[in-house]
Amino acid sequence: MINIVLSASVLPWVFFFGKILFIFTLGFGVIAPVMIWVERRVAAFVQDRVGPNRVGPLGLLQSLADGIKLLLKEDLRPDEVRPFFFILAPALAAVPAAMAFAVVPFGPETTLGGLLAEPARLQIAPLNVGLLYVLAIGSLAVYSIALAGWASNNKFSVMGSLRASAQMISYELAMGMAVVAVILMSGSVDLYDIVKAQTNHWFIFTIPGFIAFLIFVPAMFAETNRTPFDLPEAEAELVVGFHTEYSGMKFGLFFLAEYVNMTTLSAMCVLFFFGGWEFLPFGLTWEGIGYQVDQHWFSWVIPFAWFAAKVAFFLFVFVWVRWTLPRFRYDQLMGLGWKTLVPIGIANIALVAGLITFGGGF
Amino acid sequence: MTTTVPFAYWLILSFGVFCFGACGFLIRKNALSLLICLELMLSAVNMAFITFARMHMSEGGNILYFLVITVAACESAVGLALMINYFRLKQNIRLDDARALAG
Amino acid sequence: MPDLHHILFFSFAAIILFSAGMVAFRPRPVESAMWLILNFFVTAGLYVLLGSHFTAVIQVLVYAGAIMVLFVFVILLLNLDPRELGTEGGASWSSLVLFMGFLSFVLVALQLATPDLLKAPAALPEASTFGSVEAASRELLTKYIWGFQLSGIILLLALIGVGLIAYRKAKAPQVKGAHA
Repeated sequence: MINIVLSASVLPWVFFFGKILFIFTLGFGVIAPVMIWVERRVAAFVQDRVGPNRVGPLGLLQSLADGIKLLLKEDLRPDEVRPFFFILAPALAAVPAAMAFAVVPFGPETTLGGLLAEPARLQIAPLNVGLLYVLAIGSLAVYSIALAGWASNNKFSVMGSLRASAQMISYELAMGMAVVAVILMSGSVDLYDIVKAQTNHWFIFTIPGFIAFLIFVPAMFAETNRTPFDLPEAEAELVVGFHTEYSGMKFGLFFLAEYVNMTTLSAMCVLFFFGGWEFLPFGLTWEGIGYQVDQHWFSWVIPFAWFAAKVAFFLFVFVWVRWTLPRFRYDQLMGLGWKTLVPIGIANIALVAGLITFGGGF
Repeated sequence: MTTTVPFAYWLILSFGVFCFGACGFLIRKNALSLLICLELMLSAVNMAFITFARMHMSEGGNILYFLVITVAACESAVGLALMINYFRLKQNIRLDDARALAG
Repeated sequence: MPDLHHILFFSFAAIILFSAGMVAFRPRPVESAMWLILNFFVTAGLYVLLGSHFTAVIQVLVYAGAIMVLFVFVILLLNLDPRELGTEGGASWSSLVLFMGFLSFVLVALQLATPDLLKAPAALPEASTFGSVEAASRELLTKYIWGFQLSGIILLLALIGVGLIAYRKAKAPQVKGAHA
């Protein structure tokens, strides 16, 4: 049996399906429950209280309890909603989140220590337009919010959804500006090549890269509707906004989609600015310190774990900022996006282009 | 990845979508649906452009697709703005009522 | 024998034609817009089959992700009463069928007169850059630079035009009940 699996024709397929299973289990089965627990515990510590610690050791099974609760909750469908779009909207939120997650590279190219005939990437879909694909799928996420609010047939939901959609499309622009600077610096839109271009120096330690990072981070928060940009779902002001009428697993899908989006964007941040899975900046890559990433069939685990640690740090930053900063007012939010981030982004692109053309480097 | 389907099928598909768009355009009385069918027709023509680009292995088709999309975006934005104004004026978007310039 | 490309092409083509029919003949604009989004998405998949990856991603990013968002916003904001949508009528069906029939006849005649179209296309060479970002951007910035700059200007004009046409200072809010 092991011999059949390891044979040259079967192993690539086993690897392919194993990759899909692993990454999606990680993304949907591990990250969402862990993030729910992290969110509630970190919120508690920031607010000087304890948080859930009854269910299981340290409250770790709280997410399981929450998931069971959501599944068993009554799936309300109020009379006034438009039925088809009401059910479509959570699906339209979860599916693009999953699709964007499919192009994130989790580690270096590996031949599993020589078992595979040619190097395979640790990406479900090694697209050569990977970055544009992520931006494209991100713009599809606007539909779920717009339809959710409109289908709920409820003034608060409509207002919340219109605000959220306007916010998301405005900050897509700012994010695009930041990302164009990264594309110029790395010379490719393939996510794997962007990491490879950071072998000697991470982009955050360059001037235009740092400015792009400063633009990317608010855009990241605004794209996922997290504080300080979560006015559209502000609990005190808009009765949870566009998902007011949703209960049970439909709400669970919105929740899940938000966490997966957060993970995808954190992964993007790490890939663009922090060198992906490379060990340390300034040339201290895994190869540099003598660790061969392709020696044994399990050697890719260490770079993958390092990448996962960096992404986990950014997820922690998401939660940390949520419970630290107050919410932006809507006009402040839109003003920041259009009047501050976009001009700085354009200037940054001009700076990068100038440095590459005339400066010979950055 | 390269296709093995003959180009004739692609052109027939593009024509089919254009037909649907044109039929929808001609029978609609509602300005929004009209603009949507217009977008459908433009998309069909784009498909023909890409097919011809592949047929002659020329990037010009891809570039022209890009420019057509730009113009489609501008034209739909301006069309929708005009339609919003019309709606503010008349509180409906039935095009049959827009007869002020008719002879 | 079922070739993967044939299967993919025909299933995508079926979805595209079905959604185009739904766009053209559904009475409510919201449904038309949703079917059009599906149409654009599957068309992008079709472009990948042709080998134009850049085009496919631009289709989703710009057409399905920006232009249709604009349409959906306007449709949702106008909040039309279904009574105001009007019944379909317009041009008569027989004239439509005649018109489309004539165009199809012309198209089929052209296809039969060009036997090259009915052969399977030649395979792309292994290192071909057709349809990739590099090839498209190189052409756009060297050979078609005028078109590129003019499209930038036309976008700016559209932006200014839309602002002039559609902007109104907010008046006292009128509360209108949401219609079905």
